[in-house]
Amino acid sequence: MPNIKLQSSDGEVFEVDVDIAKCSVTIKTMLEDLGMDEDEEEVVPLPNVNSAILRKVIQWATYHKDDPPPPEDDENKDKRTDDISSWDADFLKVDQGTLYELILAANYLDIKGLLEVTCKTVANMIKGKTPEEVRKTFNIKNDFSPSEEEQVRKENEWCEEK
Amino acid sequence: MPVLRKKSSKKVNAENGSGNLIGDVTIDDFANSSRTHGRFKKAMINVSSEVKEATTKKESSWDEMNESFQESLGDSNKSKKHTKGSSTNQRRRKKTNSSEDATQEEEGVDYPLDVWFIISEYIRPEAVGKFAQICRSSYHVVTTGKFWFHLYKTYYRYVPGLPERLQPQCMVRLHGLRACVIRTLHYTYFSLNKKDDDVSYLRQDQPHSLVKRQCCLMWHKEGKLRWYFYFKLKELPKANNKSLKLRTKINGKKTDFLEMLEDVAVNSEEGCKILRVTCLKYSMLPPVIGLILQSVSMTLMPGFKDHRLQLGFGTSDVPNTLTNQVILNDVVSYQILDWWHPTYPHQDSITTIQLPESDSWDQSLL
Repeated sequence: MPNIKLQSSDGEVFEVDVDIAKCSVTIKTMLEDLGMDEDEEEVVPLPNVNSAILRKVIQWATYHKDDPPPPEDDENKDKRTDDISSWDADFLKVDQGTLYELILAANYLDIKGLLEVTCKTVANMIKGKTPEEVRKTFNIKNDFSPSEEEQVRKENEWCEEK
Repeated sequence: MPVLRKKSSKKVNAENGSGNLIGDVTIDDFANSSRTHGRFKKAMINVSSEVKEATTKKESSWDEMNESFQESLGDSNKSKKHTKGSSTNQRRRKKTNSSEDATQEEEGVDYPLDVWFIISEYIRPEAVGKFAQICRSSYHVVTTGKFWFHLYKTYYRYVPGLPERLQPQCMVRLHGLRACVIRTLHYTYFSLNKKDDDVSYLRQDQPHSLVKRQCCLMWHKEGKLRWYFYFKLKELPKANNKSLKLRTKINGKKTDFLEMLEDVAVNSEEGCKILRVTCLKYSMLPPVIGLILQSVSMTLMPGFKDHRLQLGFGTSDVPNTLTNQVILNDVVSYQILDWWHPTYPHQDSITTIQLPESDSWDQSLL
């Protein structure tokens, strides 16, 4: 199997099977559009992903390399959050900072499966928490003023338990 | 008076750091005072243009954050020249502190909007409010047609009595989509997921919670054994009530009429509640449309079985300025209906309302 070299933002180079690298639509498109031959020694720079996260992404892609391609987005499908495989669940037992970096990396590299499973994990972590607790957990900036926050709460009284 | 003017001029000059006090102050001195100049200079030195922009944008919101302002005020005073606290001086400090606060507030991460869209697909209806309250990006997602269409398609189930307007064939327009989806969810998702031990009916709002609302409609219906009196009460508009929406609209430049037709959030019933009072006998009521509910009183009737409900209305929300009094005798029950409640009398559901009582007013229409 031909290999490809991926360079993280901090300069570390990872040699990866091309088929595994092509899990990422971004890399796949890059290879196709730029006509980079698979046997070339050129390095693909990934300036938005650091080495720790790229290592995790490659680990995830290697495990899922034989998975069938993800189905097209079906809007009518009930999006479940309790169908995360045990391997993925273990893989995502990381601190919120790493989880956040993984979401960004999956978004940038366009890896649908990884993006879905990370977002499901976040959705599960949101359950049972107040907005303030969610912000604290994920270190999210509260960019509402107190009056705006109250307004948003009021707009959403329809889903509050009475 | 000239003495006072001199004093104030001294303060202004002192805070500008010039130190050269002049004896007389002219209009020109005030008009061309270095107040603006000084403020600009500080901004140039102390804050980046981005922070400056954020400070300017959020100026009104800082005003409301009195506590944090007071704290930061104390901190910043240490690094400033000691001047006796004139109001202008405080105002200026506030600006500088605002920029410091803005820098502090920028701590924390900003998830990309795409991520919020993806997470929103996994949010259940009861968690929508909580999701919207996390940050501006998550709130923005909840204002889009994509979000509401997804929620509708995911949780729609056919239930008998569902108005045609809320059925899939009619749910194609963006205009007013949010309200339609919320109503559908209350017909389907929330009703079907009610637990057997649900006691929410015991926690219903009291009529007293309707005080300071304006009556925009009243009517009554005769049942077989009872009379039903309806009061549609709308919240009085507040000055800053729609600031967030307006800002979104201004940012999105929603001025075009065709774009207004695509306004997902439009809801003519927003802020409305219906007070439905069930009585054994008919009561003659004075017209109170346009008046504001000022007082509510519920007392026991002689015989201790039924109640008397007195609603005091006036032309303003100032208490004790009643102009009309509604007295309903032999009150058996009352209910306060929010606009999303399946039994709320919307125009599109007027023939399909299923009331729990066997002699409900609408059955005579069927």
